[in-house]
Amino acid sequence: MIRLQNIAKRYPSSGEVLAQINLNIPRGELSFLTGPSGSGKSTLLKIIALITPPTRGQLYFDDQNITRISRQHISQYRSKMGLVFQDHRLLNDRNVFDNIALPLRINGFAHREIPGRVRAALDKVGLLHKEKSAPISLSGGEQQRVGIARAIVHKPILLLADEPTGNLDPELSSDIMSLFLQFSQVGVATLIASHDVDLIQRYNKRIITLTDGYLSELPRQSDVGVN
Amino acid sequence: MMTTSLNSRKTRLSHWLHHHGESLASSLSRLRQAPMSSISVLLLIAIAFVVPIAIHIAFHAVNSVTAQWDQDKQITLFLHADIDLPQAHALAASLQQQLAISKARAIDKQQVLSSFTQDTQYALLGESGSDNNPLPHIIELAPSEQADLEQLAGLFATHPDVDQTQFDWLWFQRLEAISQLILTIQWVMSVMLMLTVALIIVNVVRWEIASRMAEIEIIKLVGASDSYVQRPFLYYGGLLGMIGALLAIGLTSLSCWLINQSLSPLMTLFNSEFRLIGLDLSQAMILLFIGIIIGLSSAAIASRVKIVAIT
Repeated sequence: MIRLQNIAKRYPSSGEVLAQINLNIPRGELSFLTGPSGSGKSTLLKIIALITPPTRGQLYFDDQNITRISRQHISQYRSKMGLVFQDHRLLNDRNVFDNIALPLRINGFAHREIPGRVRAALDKVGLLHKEKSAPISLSGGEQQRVGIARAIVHKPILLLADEPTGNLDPELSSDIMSLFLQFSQVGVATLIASHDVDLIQRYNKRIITLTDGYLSELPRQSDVGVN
Repeated sequence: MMTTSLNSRKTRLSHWLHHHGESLASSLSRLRQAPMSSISVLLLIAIAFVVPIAIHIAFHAVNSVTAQWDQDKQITLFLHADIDLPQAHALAASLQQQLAISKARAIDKQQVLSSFTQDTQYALLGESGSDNNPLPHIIELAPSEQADLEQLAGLFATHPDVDQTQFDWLWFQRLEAISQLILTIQWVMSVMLMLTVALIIVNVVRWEIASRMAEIEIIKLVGASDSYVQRPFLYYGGLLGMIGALLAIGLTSLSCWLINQSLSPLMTLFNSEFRLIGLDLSQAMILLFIGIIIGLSSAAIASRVKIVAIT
C-alpha cells in the first residue's frame, strides 16, 4: 500500500539522516521500526505522513506517486491515516470526547454519527467512563490511549505510531502494544517506531531496523522455525 | 447511486455549514475569554473608524450651511447714469431669459436712495432731494446653479449698459476651497485609518495564531485542510471588524447627540437650525460592510502566511 523508493533525507544542520530507504508496507500488516535514538525513525515516519518532504526518492500510495502532491491532497491523504505521538499531542482546551471527535469533524462525518463512533473508539481503549475528563487530569498511560483512540476513530487504513510506549512503564506498554495488534488484525496497516527491542521482539512481527541511514530486516522467528 | 451522491453532497454541505457555525461560535467565545483585551482592541478599531466619520459629518455640516448661503449669492449691476428705469426693466427681463441667470430684478434708483437714507450715516444724502439722486438704477441678479461665474463676470464687464459689477462671492469661493480641502483631508484620513484598522486586525490575528500554534499543528496532522484551519481566524477577523464598526456607529450617534444637545441653545441665539447630522441607515450599513471586509481580508492575509508555513 505504501512504498518508499530510494528515499533519502538530509537536514542542513545535522547532515544525512536517511541514506537510501526502500520499504513496502502492505495493507493490514503490523511492522515495528527500531534503531538507536537519532537514527531517523521519526524522520522516516514524518516522510511517510508527508510532514517532511524527502530530499531524494519517491513515495507511493497505492501505486500513486505522492512525493510532491498539493497541500489539499496532503490533507486528504492524512485523513486516511492515524498518527500516534510519544507526547500524545492532545488539545488541552477541550475534553476527551472532543479530542477524539476532532478527526471526525475535520473529515466531515455526519453530526449524528460522531458520538457513536467516539464512544466505540473510547470503548476499544477502555476509557469509556472518561469522555468528559480534561486530558491533563488523566495519567500518562490514559492520555496515550486517548491519543490512540483519536488515531483510530475515523477508521484509518494506515496507523503510524512514534514511540507510543516511550513514556510508559512495561505493563502499560504491553497494554498499548496489544491494542495495536488488535487494530492490525482488523486490517489496519500499522508501523510502530520503538527503541524498546525487548518489548517488540515478543510479538513475532516484522521488525525493520534503521542504522546509519539504511534499513535492514531480521527474518521473523516464524520464518526460521523457532516459534 | 444518484441518491447516495446527493446524500453525500448534502452531508458535506451540512458539515461545511456546521463548521462555519462552529467557527463563529469559537470566535465569539475567544472574544469573551479575554474581555479586557477584546474591548481595548475593539475600541481601538472603533476610534480609528470614528475619526474619518467625524470629518465626514463636519464636512456635511459646513456644506449644509454654505448651501443655504448659496441662495444669497448675488451679483449687483450698477447701470450707467443715462439708462432710465424702463430700459433697466427691459434689460432685467432680457437677462432673466439667459440660462445662467435664475433671477434678475431692476431696482429704481429712488428706492436705492431711500434704502440708503434709512441708514443714518447717509441720511444727509436724502436731503439733497430726489432730483439730485447721484445713484444709478441697479439690477440684482441671482446666478443659476450651473452658471459659470467667470463667464458672467466677463459678459458684464463689456456690457454697454453696465457701469460697474459687484460680485459678493469671493468669500464664498474661499469657503468652497476650504470645504474642498476638508474633503481631501477626509479621504486621506479615511485611507490611513482604514489601513490602521487592517494592521490592528492583522496583528491581533497573528498573535492569536501564534498562541494556538500547537493546536493548529495537531489539527493539520489529523488531516485538516488549510481552509479548515483558516476559517475560525477569518471569522475572528470579520467579527473584530464588524463589532468595531458597530461600536463606531454607536460612538458617532452618541457624540452627535451630545454635541447637538449643547449646540441647540447656541444656535437658537443665532437664529439658526444648524445641527450635526449623524450617519443615516445606508451609511451605517456601508461602514458595517467596510468593517467586515477589512476584518476578513486582514485575517486572510495574516492567517494565510502563518498557516501555510505549518506542514
